[in-house]
Amino acid sequence: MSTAASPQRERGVREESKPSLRTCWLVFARRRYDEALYQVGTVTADDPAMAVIFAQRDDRRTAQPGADRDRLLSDARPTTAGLFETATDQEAIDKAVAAAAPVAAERADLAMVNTLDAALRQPMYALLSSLADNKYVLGRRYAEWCTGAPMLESAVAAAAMAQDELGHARSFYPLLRGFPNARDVVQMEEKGWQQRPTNAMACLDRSFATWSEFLAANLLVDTAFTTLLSAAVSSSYEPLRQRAAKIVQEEAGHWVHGAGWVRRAPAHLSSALAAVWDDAFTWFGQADDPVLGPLAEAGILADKPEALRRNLRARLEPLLDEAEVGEPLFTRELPWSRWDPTVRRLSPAV
Amino acid sequence: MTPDSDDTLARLWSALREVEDPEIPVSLVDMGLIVSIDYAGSTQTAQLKITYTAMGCPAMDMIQDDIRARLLREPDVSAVDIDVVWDPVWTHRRLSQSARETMRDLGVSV
Repeated sequence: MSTAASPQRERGVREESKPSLRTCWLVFARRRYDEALYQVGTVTADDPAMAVIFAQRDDRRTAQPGADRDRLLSDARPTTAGLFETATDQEAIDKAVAAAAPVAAERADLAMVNTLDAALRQPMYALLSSLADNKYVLGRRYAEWCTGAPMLESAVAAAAMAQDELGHARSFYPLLRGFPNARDVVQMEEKGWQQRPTNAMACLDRSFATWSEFLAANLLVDTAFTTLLSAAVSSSYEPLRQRAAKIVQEEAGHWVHGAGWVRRAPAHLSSALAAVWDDAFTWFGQADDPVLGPLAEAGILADKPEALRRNLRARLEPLLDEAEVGEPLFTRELPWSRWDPTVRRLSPAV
Repeated sequence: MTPDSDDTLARLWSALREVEDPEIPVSLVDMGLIVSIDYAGSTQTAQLKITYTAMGCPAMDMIQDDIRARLLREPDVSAVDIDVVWDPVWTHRRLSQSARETMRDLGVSV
């Protein structure tokens, strides 16, 4: 079962007999010769030589030059372009605007904004827009792996989690209409929610190039959002409270998926986890965060930024320590000099 | 609540039992999606609170359209207001016994 080896990785394939027209091959990989082989997926091919070729290509999705979804967003705030340029025709833009229009179901939510203390409306808007954008973009990134995932079950998981995240985003966006003085409301009215500068994490700006990057976002980024929403299940702000409880319920499956993969292939994930670590852990802001701080003081969130960060760590630590990848990550110094608390993003590292 | 209102409410509940989930041949009532129904006689408005099994449900608009279409066939219903709520959080415990039996017959594990 030997194969061609790359300088970085040696891999092998083994025939798995299945009652089908083509043979399904298990793909194994390892970084060094003295490491054990571990399964990274399956490929279908007619013979071992083709199976090796498919296996060597399958674990990395190369970005196509000029592809919009791989474009890095600069630190500058674009005036017209949003994160996705899919709505380039007028009909699609009209649909997006119509979808953002208030419907009867949101009337009670809109009225709730007026129950907020005036000083809390901007922080609440910032939090809701961050949650909406992050869940929308994360859902899109998950969806990009509905095909091409290492195995069928992974593709199904990607599709299911994408649907969940997009549903969460769909529930948050209409709430933003209740803030008439919000910065982006004019642009949103004209072009729809996605045609405006994003408030999503910088690590979500481009597609996940590998399955490891997908899993890192699943485990760290997704769990960061869930950690905050767990602190909102008893929120005094009704629209947030209702959504938080349902989202936390649905996110249980996302955690199981990410945790399961960490246990299977921890070494494979180390660099990917490090790449999104700062985004996930800075998202709660610092102790004097102008968004989460006031909301926690007012009892709208049960925990302040530092407590949220501790909660996230407490969730991750047992799992990552068991996988022996936790130590270098938990001692990282967070790049607060690059943190923008208003849009809740890290600017690019110099 | 007047006797007429009680009758109207009972009739509305009965009407909603005719509206099925788009994916499973079970009524929305048996699915546990209908949280509450109120009726405002002065405006002949049926006021519903509904929930969904999942926030990403792709059939939300379809289900609401089906609800409106059925209830507007009632002679004393001129308008239907639907509020989507996420509390109570839907779980399989909201399924009726008949819904469970139907789903098991279809091979759906509940």
